[in-house]
Amino acid sequence: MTVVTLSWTVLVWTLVAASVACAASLAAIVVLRSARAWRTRRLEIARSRVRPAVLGVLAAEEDELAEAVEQLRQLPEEHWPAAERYVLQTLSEVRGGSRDALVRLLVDRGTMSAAMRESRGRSAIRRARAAEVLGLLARPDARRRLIQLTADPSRDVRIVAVRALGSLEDPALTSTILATLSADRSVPASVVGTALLRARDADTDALRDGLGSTSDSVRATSAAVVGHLLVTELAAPISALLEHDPSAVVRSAAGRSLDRFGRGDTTDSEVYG
Amino acid sequence: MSETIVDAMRDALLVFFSVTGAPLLAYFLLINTSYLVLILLASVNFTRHLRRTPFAGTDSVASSALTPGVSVILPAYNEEMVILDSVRSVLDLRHPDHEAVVVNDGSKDSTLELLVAAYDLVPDTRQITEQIPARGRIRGVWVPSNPAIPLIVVDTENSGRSDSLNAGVNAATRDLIVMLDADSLMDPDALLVVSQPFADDPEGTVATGGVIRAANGCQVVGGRVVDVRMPRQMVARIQVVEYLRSFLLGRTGWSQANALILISGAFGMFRRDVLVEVGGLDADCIGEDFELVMRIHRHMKDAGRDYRVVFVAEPVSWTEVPSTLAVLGRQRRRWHRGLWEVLWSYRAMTFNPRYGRVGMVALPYYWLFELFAPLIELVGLVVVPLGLALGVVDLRYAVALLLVTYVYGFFVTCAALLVEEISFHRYSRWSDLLRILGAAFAENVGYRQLTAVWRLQGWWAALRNKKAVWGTMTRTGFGSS
Repeated sequence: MTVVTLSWTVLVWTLVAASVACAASLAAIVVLRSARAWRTRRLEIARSRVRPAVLGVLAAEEDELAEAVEQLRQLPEEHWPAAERYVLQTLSEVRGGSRDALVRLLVDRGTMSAAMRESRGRSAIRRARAAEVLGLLARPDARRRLIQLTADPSRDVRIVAVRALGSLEDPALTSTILATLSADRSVPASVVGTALLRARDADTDALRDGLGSTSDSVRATSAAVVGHLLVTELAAPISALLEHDPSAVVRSAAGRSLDRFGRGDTTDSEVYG
Repeated sequence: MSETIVDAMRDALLVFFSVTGAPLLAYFLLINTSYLVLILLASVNFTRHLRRTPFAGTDSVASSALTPGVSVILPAYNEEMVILDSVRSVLDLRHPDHEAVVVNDGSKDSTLELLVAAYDLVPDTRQITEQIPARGRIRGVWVPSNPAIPLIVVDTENSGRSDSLNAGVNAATRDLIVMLDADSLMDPDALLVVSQPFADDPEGTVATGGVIRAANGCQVVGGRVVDVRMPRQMVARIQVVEYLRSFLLGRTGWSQANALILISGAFGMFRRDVLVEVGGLDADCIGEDFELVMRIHRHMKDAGRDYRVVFVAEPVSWTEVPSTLAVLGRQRRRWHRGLWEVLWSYRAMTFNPRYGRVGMVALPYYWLFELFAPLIELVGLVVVPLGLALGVVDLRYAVALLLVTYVYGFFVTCAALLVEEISFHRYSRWSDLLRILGAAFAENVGYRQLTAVWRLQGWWAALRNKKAVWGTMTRTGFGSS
């Protein structure tokens, strides 16, 4: 009777290989951990050097703003990357004059032109990051490039571009943004709807066209946006969708919109399915 | 006479080793290599996840009126030690439209009283429609006197965790449902990120699972884990390693392969309409989370619908893992019993091409490498020493083979640690790294064998139709400041 076993040679070599693999993994963990700690320290030092200048702009009163921005502008070239990262991280939380001043500074120091350049790069990740920066800057001169990016081969890039277009807060972009719901671009309806809501104002004609679209998701998204922007002049087509639309998703969106209008002529089951 | 018995045993062992030698070697190689493959798949997923994070638009989702609403259901039975931390943790989550639904499952302690006092709860007269069957009679519904606090407390007669969750689904008012354990603490962005696949693909995504990590030893402030540390007890430390390897990397790997069949009951998100369609959780099944996901798979495949079950590797839900062997034993018996019950119930899906990768890959894997693993391990633990005693097995060879097995297993854990280090690196202290490595080593010495025994006991209890019990998890609380 033969008992199938590994030969001693195979056994020993397997043991050696597994041990080496363990040691290599552990060494890699130690190296990675040390490198990360070093990088974190370096970034923190760089950040601490520019922090006073950035905070100076963020905390400045109107009459102090120009001087604070000038101090930030005067930062030596080697400190600028840290300042740029810091400013971009805080930009979405800043409003008013401080924001305008910071955006102007970023444009002057080449952040926008770099993002425009990167948005034509080969890496989808870089294009998406560039679109993110263009969205943070929210400059009308990036509009054309962002519209082009909504047809990018990468879905990630298209999504970021639509969000960035939303940050321009321009109702005239309604049709362009709604078009990204098409099957070939497949931007999620929540991203498209959120981008449209940022305009705070409605392009009534574009939304009316959306309500009459052949695409379920365009009709549903248009209906949701109409409800949130309280475009009451579109109540009639919304009611028609609730009554007759073949899609349950569209009927549900229409019902919720009417509910928001406060007409009170929908039941819970119509609204919530 | 005794020599005859010894000879017979020796012959039997020789036959045993000759028949099982090759399959067992293949089994050992396959099980560890499959872990490595899952870790590799998970690393692909993590890379994509981390590269997308800077432009994931979480802030936009957090402030959008169109972000799908989420009801977080917390079943609570005698959870006075942790309930306030848990509810606060849920209410403080970053999300534009979420509510907490606590189902007080007939607690005998002061779980309900604590909630009433903390949130100034008042009785609510709403009628809860039973869209999913729930057995526990509702004794009352409570809401905060301040309507701005999105909290509903449903007080029911004791009917078990699954039934409480079903009652919670009936009371929930949002489109997405999160099922949590009452002792869970979520990262601030957990809801936003775990609901992201639903926003990206609202028609296709039916369920998402989030990561569970051990809260033991971590510093908790205001219902949030603010400082991640390794637990003090070795039992809990080893579970950190297990959770990392199996829950985080294993499930991410399955998700990447589009064959995820298990979402932990401690942190899963489901579409409410799908839960209603499939009838909610099976209150009689001890592996109710696994059973629910399997039922969803079967329902969707049978209906020919295109769907996805997704695992999201970050953020995290922190939960208190058993810190004593007694509690751990009960948990593992229950888990293995649940595993057997579900695999047996859904055996018709196994190796059935109609169910795609779930039927052809995931289910056979769970049968072979999850269900049978403790049986094979314990058989080895019995026959190898016996073989040594009877001179059938060479001692040096047995030790070398054992070393290969353990070193290869240790390498799998090291690979998991390496992926964790590259991706999320939650345990940042050097001392924690040493503790994790110590736990990874100690896991093979006693712990694994003990869990194999418990798992077999759970399986045996199921085969004998012994009444299933959840048992009690003794909470120590989070020591929240």
